[in-house]
Amino acid sequence: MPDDRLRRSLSNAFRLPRDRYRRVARWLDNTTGGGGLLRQELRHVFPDDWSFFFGEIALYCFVILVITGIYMCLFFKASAAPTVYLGHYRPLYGVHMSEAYASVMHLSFDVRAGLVIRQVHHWAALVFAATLVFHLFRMFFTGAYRRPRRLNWVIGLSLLSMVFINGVFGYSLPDDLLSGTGLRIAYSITQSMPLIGPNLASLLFGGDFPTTGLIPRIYAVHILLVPAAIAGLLGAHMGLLWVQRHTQYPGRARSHRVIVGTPMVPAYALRTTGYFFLISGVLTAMGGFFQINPVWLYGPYQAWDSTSFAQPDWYTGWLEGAVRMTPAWDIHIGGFLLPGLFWPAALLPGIIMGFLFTWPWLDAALLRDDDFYNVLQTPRDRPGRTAIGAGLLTFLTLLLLAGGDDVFASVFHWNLPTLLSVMQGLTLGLPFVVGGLVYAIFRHRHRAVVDEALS
Amino acid sequence: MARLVHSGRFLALLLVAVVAAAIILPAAVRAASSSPTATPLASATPAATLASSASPSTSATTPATVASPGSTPAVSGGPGAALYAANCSGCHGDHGQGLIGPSQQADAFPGLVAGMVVRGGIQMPAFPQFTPAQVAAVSTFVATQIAAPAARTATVADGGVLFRLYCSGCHGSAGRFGSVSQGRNPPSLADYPAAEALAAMIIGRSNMPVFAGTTLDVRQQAAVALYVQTLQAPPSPGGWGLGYLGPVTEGLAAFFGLCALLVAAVWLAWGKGGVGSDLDAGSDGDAGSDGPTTTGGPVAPRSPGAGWPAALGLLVAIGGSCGFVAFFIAGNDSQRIGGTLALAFLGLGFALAYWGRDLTSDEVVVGSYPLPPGSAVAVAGTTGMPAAGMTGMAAAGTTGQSGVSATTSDSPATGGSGGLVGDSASAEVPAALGDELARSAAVLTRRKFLTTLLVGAAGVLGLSQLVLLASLGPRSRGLRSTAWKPGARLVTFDGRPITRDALSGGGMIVAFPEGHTDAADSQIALLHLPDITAQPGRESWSPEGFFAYSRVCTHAGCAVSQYEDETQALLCPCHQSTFDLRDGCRPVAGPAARPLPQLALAINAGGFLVAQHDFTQPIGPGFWNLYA
Repeated sequence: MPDDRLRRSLSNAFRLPRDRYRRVARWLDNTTGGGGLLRQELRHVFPDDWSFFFGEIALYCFVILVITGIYMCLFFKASAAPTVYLGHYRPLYGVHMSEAYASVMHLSFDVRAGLVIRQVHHWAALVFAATLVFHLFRMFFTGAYRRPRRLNWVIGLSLLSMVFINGVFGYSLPDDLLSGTGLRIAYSITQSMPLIGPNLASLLFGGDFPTTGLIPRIYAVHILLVPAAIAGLLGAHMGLLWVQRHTQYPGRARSHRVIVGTPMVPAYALRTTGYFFLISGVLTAMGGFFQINPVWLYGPYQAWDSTSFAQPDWYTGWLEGAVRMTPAWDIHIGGFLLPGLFWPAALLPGIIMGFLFTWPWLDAALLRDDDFYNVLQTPRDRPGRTAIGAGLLTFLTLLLLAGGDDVFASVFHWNLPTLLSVMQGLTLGLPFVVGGLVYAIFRHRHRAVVDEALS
Repeated sequence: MARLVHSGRFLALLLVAVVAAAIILPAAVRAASSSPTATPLASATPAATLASSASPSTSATTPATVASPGSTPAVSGGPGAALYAANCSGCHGDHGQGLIGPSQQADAFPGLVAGMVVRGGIQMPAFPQFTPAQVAAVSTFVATQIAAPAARTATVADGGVLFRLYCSGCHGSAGRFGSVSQGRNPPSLADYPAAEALAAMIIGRSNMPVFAGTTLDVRQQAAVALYVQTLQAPPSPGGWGLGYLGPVTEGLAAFFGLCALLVAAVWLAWGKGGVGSDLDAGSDGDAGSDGPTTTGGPVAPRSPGAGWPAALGLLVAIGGSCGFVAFFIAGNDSQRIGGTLALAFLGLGFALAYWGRDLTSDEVVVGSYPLPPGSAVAVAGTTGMPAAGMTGMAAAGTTGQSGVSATTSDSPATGGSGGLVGDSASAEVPAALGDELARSAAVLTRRKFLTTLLVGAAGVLGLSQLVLLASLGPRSRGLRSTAWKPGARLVTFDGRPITRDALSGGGMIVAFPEGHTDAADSQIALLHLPDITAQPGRESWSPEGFFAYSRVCTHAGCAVSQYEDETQALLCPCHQSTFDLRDGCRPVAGPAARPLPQLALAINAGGFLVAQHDFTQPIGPGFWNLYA
């Protein structure tokens, strides 16, 4: 009976005569003057391809992170003040710990659905970072960074950096044994900078490690500063995307002038809303069934405790691998020391990010090609670029794998020092081999396509 | 179909699906077989079960509990002693002091011993011939008669602290793996009875140094063994532990999660300009498609799919939401709460995505990119774009920013005229917009039943999220009890007890129950008013003229801090409620409606003022079930 009424009111709301819609439209247009714009944007064109979904995944991961993050803010205590745990988890009963760690224990064991939401938050962060990397390389391999999208490439890379940084901060907040170990390493990396290192580290961490003032600082940055920056950059990124339209793959009827795809209303809007819920569903399922960061097993951070298999989350894993593989390259300069930690942990990410940030201009300069492009290339179209990307990807993947060398050694019963040497060799050699092979194969295929087209 | 198989995207999808299945299926099987326990404390190892059968004081669900000395029945001279003499003393010595086998001074818990007897370890043989009763008897004998009394005071929490200090560096936090130099990896502690960890601490093992003695005393050894015992089945309230390998496997799992999302993306893009779309079909001519050749010409519509999958998805969403609420109310089981909520999201997500993909008319829109006038636009040949793509599209590219509807069969679209918005008179804009809105709405309301179901499912899912708010706090106690207990001494804010000699010169003291000077609801105003007669029925509440009233205003909860000596009134500074001390603190002015509750006092043998009992009515402001 209420169902009937609901249906009737719905059909009354939607199944109006066209006149009624025109009246609404006239009111809208008279009030805002945006009738023409709105009509145009209702038909905003979205080209279709599965690889265009990386950005959507990222956007929705951010939404889910904000929602779950707000929930956790209600329970998390950003304080390093000492306390004694008297909660329900017996193996830690009576143990001394920080209020931050104790509040995470409370959230995980005593707050209903608290653990699920914490796990969804963490899984969303990992997937977020992963989809951004895929997104980046999709742009790279298809030439989507070319004019007029250079600025958006830069904004996107800034987003990626912000997300990685905030991930590290989030990893550090629970103040468990892994968190503290990570912060200890981060402090040492900051300390390794030439000239400014020691003072910079003390400035950022609020004194010599470990400091009690650090957790409130990280908290402010993690929940306020960086998320605000991400939201702003996301807005700019999507605003530009909207104005410029999405790129499209080559195909019949498509050109750099003409875009073909699905209209925003209703098909695209329905699909993307549905996709948001699908993403929520997958992440919630992971949060419910796959345990992540079991802080109760790690225990509270003490500078004298340690655990084996001490890794950062995966998006920092490539730096972990670089740090593990770099030899002891301490350099003495006139009575001063440049610690070996500086090369893999500070210089290497600087070089790689610098290369990526400047790539669109490098590419344009190399090709002397500064035109507007709206149609994407395939990796085959530019064998040289594809080879560079494949080499870079190989290099980063090897670094990432090396970051887990002790896990692999343990699980597969390998000898750790031998594995390390092998990984060092592979990291220096394999990127060039892969790059060369890719270049040879794609150049051959490119030629074949061109020949066929010419004949 | 041949076209699909040859497509790289199809292969990519297939690969992703296979890999995802390969990881998810074994995971699901493992999760189902090991069934992660909801309560982190339940560790039903055989040893713990045996321990419980041996001594009722050691609960099976909490092997962590400290077994207080003497709480286990003494079995001296019982079957345990005989069994020990016959089977154990040869290696461990008559008093467990250690001969060939290690000392048993730290084997203070029957569960530790029982596991070792049943399974054996290092050089000690298993004793399969023992009946469970015999295992229990000998374990209890060792724990109570052989082990050092000091070891019995060990706690699992102490063990955890020591484990993180000395053990987890090699064995890992979960005691599962660990990697040290030269590939001589420590074993998983789950493969051995916890007492074997004790033996290893005492005699060392392979690359592992000796810890017993100066590093760890007997009590600490026992504590570590207790903690190792909890790691036999690591508490996993969060679900499958992914092998307890830390962020490496978590990162891997995140990539598989992303793969699952990409499977959905491929499905969504399928047939929409992606694989197998009309635009791609071209000259292959499958499915009778001619492909669009001219602007505004019809693209062969794909017949809309059936509505039942969307309906099914929406029903799943409703069911999942209801299950989520039910499991949330029933308890804090992450798998049930997360699983049902995920089901709700997936159901709604699938329904909407399916709707957008298969139930809208299969339309493709052609628009134009914004280009600066006179800008250099690459020509087809240099970009790898098939030259054919440019044919016939020049006209569309110059009509301005607006989209041109290239299709659709059954929608009340405006046809080709829509593309000329930029040129049309401004009065026509609302009309065109109105038609556009009507057309979009028509797509959504074409299926009345589904629309109703969608609104219902979205509403149920949205409302179900409100139960999460219940986590914000515990249920209200009803504000009916304070920290005042019978006989509690009255103390000043700094904890000094108040005697019958206080207030001899008049005045007022803010007092609290002893030990609760931070209890906001227990603050009272203590006054010495020998001239005032007590209220009927409360004659015994004010010994020697001492009156005590709650200091929390019955109006809005402020501290009633003003005491007027001449008028004998207590005043609240927030809203000027005035309570008459001569009349049981009845409100005589201001917005307060109920008197301040009086605390019944007495004077004990030492001359200290004490409470007879708690307040007889709720203190502070009113609330709905005040009189319930």
